[in-house]
Amino acid sequence: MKLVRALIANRGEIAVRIVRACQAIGIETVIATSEADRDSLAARIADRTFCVGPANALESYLNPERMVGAAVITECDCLHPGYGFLSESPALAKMCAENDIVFVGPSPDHILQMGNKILARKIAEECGVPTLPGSEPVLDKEEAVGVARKIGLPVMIKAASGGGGRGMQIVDDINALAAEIEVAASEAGAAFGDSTLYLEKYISNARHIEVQVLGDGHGNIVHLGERDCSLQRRHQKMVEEAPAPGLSVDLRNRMCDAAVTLARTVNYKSAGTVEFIFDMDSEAFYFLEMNTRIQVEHPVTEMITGEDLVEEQFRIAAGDKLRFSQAEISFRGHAIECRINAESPEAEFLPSPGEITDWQPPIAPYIRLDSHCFPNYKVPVNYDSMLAKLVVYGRDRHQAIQRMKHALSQFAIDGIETTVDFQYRLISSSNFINGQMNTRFVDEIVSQSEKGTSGLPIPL
Amino acid sequence: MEEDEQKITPEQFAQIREIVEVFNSSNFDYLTLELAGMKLTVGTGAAPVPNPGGTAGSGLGLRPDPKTGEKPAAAVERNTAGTPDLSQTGSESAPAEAPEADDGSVAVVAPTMGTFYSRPDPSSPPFAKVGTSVDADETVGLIEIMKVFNNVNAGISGIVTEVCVADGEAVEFGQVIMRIRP
Repeated sequence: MKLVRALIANRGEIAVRIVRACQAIGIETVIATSEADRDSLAARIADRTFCVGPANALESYLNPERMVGAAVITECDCLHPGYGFLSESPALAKMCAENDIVFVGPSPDHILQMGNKILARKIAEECGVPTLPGSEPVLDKEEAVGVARKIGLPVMIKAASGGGGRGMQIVDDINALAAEIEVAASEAGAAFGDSTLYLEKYISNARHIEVQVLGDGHGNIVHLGERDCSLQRRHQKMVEEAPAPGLSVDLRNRMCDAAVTLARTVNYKSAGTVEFIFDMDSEAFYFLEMNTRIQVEHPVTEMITGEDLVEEQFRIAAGDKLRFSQAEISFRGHAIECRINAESPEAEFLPSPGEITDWQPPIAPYIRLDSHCFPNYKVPVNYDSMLAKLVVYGRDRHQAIQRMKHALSQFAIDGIETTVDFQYRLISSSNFINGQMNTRFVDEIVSQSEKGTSGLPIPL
Repeated sequence: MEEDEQKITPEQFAQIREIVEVFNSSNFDYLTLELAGMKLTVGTGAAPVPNPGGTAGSGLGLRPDPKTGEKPAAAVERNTAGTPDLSQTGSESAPAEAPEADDGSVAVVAPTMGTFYSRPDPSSPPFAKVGTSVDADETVGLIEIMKVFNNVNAGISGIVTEVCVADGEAVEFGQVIMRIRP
């Protein structure tokens, strides 16, 4: 099957990224926008813009009827959901199928199975992929206390339908657990429409390592190596890199094999990411969840493999078999991505929307910038604050860090507050340079700055 | 290719081959070229059918250069029946924000995106046409999205001065559907 015209049901840099991938392989593009994004970069470069609703995402980017309706009206034969918004909505994938629109992503069943963390855990356990000591859904407070005593404190309370860093709470006091369960259940119910919770052992010295997989639905599954996404602030990733620093060949192989096994078990189709938590103290890794979408940090994998993951998503959606075997995927060098957000690090990372009066991205060899911004672009108040993903490539990690430092120092943005300088401090810190980081690293640096023990702008 | 092979000179053949090569490397579905004594149509898939009545939307209007604001000189005709053209861009298709026109008329904008219907069913007369007097709460059209129909209300009492969208045409959120003079 040849795909002719794609509806892009997203905004921001990923909408731009998808339009460009379509242009490269000769697919026409219709960008579905909200009223706030009519004049966005994606709208400017797409073949057609179709405004589906007001700025409020519930009536635009989060509305499956309007997105599929727009695809039908503009006679698209496929729909790419990007990440966030409806990208992991089984309802959208199903509605596409019902209207003969090819969903550029996995099947509704895969999204359902893997999107529900309890179901995904079960599948992982069944195919021998290690999971964190934890529980089935906890029904009440008494049961939760019993589970916590068994697996040992600290524990993390998680919402079964949560994601993106939301719906998680660390508890290290058994007496506080009952109250926290109650709060978490009502929060999860309000945020995700599902108040089901479960408990997991909390690893304090942890790194977040994830494996990129591709499946074609014909039984072919490959991995494209791992990414380290340990630098997170409040569970939101800030810096990602590939490969993961300091990981032994044996551990890397075992993690990638586990990811492929899991994807093969469900005959996964499209691009997906299997997330693991890596315990630095015991060198054990545990399956966390599988993301059934293209991820924000996919460029670092593209940089070290030379593949185009979005293009492969379209090929797989068209029914093609994978173009390469595992042996044909080669890994070379090191890539780092820094997320540049419209936030003020000095004011607890408060979003800083407004007009970008000056926008001068760095230009140098081995820099890739995925962004939807341009001079005089107004960052809307309605959506997330990401402005750009600055990605650099180097022969090795050391060179990549040097290039990232240089790139960040040359990145001039005016009119709004950004995380450029904060990112410079993060990647200049000796712990990061030595690969000695964990998932609490960013929060520690933030609290150090707040206490003045490492005030701005002294390099850490 | 619709071409009488016997009339082609070697020179014309070379030109046609060049045109086909340019087409192949483009994103277009069809290309129709009319020169003196020759009409050439190249395309992929089913043959294009000319737009009935040559209504709006028959040209793939190339976008203006964002820097100069100039439209490219050449536009390739693109007549795929029923396939909406891709000429609208964000900046060009931005809806008028319900401004008051010179004659004091007020725009009725689409409250949702979808397919606009000017009449309750194909055999009925339109809800409103130019000159119709309407009340503020009167239905002046329907917008269908995924088989759900939404009423479009006039919003203001007055006389319809212009109907901007044809029956069965796709409308974007906020697009001007008609104008009413209070």
